Amino acid sequence: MSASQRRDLLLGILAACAAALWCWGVAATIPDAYGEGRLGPRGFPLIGGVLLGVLGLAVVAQSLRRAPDAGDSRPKPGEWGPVASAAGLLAGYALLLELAGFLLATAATVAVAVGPVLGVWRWRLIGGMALGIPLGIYLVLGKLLGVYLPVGRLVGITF
Amino acid sequence: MDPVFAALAAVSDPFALMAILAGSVIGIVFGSVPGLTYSMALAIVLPLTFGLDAGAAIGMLIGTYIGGMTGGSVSGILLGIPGTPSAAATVMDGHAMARKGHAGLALGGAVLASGFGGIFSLIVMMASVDLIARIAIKFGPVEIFALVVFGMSTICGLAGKSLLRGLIAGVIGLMLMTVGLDEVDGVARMTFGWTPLLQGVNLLVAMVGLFAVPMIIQTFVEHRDRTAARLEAKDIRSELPSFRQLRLNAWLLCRCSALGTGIGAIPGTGGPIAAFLAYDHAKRFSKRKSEFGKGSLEGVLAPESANNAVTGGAMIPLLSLGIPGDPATAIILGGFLIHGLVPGPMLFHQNQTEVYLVYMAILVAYVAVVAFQFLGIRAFARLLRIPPHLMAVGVLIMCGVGTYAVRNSFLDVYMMTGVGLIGYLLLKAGVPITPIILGLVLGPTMEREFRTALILSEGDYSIFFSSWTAIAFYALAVGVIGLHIRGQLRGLRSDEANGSNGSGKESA
Repeated sequence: MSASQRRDLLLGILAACAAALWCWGVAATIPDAYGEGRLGPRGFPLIGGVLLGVLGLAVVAQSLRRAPDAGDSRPKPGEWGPVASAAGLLAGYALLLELAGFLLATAATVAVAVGPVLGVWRWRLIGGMALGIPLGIYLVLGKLLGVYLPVGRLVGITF
Repeated sequence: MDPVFAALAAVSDPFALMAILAGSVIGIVFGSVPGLTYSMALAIVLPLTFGLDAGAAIGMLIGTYIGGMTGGSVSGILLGIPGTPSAAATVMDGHAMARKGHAGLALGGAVLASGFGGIFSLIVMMASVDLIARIAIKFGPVEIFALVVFGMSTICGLAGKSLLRGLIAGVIGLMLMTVGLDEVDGVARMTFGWTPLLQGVNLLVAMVGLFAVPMIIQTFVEHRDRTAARLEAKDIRSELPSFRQLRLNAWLLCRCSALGTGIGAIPGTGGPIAAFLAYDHAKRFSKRKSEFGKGSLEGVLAPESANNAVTGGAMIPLLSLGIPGDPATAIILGGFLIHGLVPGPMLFHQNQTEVYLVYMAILVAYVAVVAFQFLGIRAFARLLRIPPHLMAVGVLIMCGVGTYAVRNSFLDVYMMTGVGLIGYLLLKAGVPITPIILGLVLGPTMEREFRTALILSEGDYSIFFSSWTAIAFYALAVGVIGLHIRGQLRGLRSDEANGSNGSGKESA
């Protein structure tokens, strides 16, 4: 079995399992239609789950029948580092926005992203971006266009 | 004074002109920043118009609407992240062109097509406002459901090599849109008792996650592996479409603009449906089908002309019947009412001057938007000179800020991160992203109209075949799917034939 076949098999099995879990969630938590002859709130989510399951099984069947080929675009083992970095940065940024407000959170996230994460240890660049990006967004979006920017719950700076 | 001259005098007032120009710039900025929307811009601008007279206020709202609709393509082409849902179809070829070093041409083409589509729809609107409104208002739940089914059939064209994977993506989109509070019965769905989830998965949040997060991760990977492609300065010079290119695509522009105007006139549809249908239409009838998805100018012109033509189309039911087709036109309707303009059949008798004022404001706004974007093309294209990994940091921040600003919700930022990670893994598994967006965009309308039709028919499913208009849309959908399957089968046969020839040669 080639790498692409294994990938398809995994995709199909995951889709089928997700569909089964989804359908269980629909049946367990969403009430059925209130009146006769109505498609209730459960209808569309259930149709979606069943369709996903059928399509997942079709992908499994296709991967078993198909001739092996050399294509493989799975993330390589070393690729998980950048994946985790990007996800961690975004989740950390959301948390910092909530705690420290827009200005501090943005400056800290930009500095961490450019330095430790991307490994660009040019202090002027890190300082310029960490100051310039939050101030620029604050002036254009916050002040000029009136977009609401989060104020921190713990240590926010407001003007 | 004649209403036309009165409107001309009002719109040429320096203050009104400034209001239209300011609205256009605000719209472009909000439209081009992923996560920010022109609906949000309109909501912010509306209170600013309270102190203006009616002419300037209407002009500012119209300018914001049109600037926002046009601006979405900028980030879509340059960064691969559509600023608005309407620009999602433009990304496929627009960003591919930018990666090939034709960002200026893609932006120039998009601006020209936007202006053409918008002014085309304005002319159609002025000429046939009564007729189109009469047809569109007759669309009931069955016809709108059938139209959405037809819209969903465009998944075939977006699925790439595997229809199965495209369908999986479309179904994921349909499933995601059901999370939250059910708008028909008011029941919580798939929230598992967690109150914050009642707000559901916002389309813009999902869109930023699906388009931006995979791009950020990929840029980080390429930076680490030192495989990132830096575009040379000479590659990003402005390159506007030539007269020949425009002449060759003139008929396509007219067809897609007409499509966008028609779709826009149907409430509840809007720019994304028009753009995807136009993209699919352009691809289907193109002599260079193989170039689609790899940087085809036709793939930029078609959706951009269609989604901007929606602006004129959407004004038809708004002005003649007082029915807004989407959140943006609903805010504009609110603005009209605040300034003493009551849209509806009587508007054309009681407020003729204001009706002409709206027409002229749309025209001025389009001229302003096209001029701003042309003048700014070099500045926009210069964005590409910034090293991609540093730009990814800026995009990451804008994603956070933009996503938060949609509903002032931190949960949306976490949701965007989660959806983006899933999108990256799906891309790696060969599942296309765009059909998920299509499912999210069309899903709510599809479900609402389906359920409304069943309530009207008391559970009789034959209602879905009770209208010739609906049957025509189903037939079109079946035709699109059939054509796609035939094309795939032909491709398979030709691959098999090549394979057997190849193996023959090898064995020989």
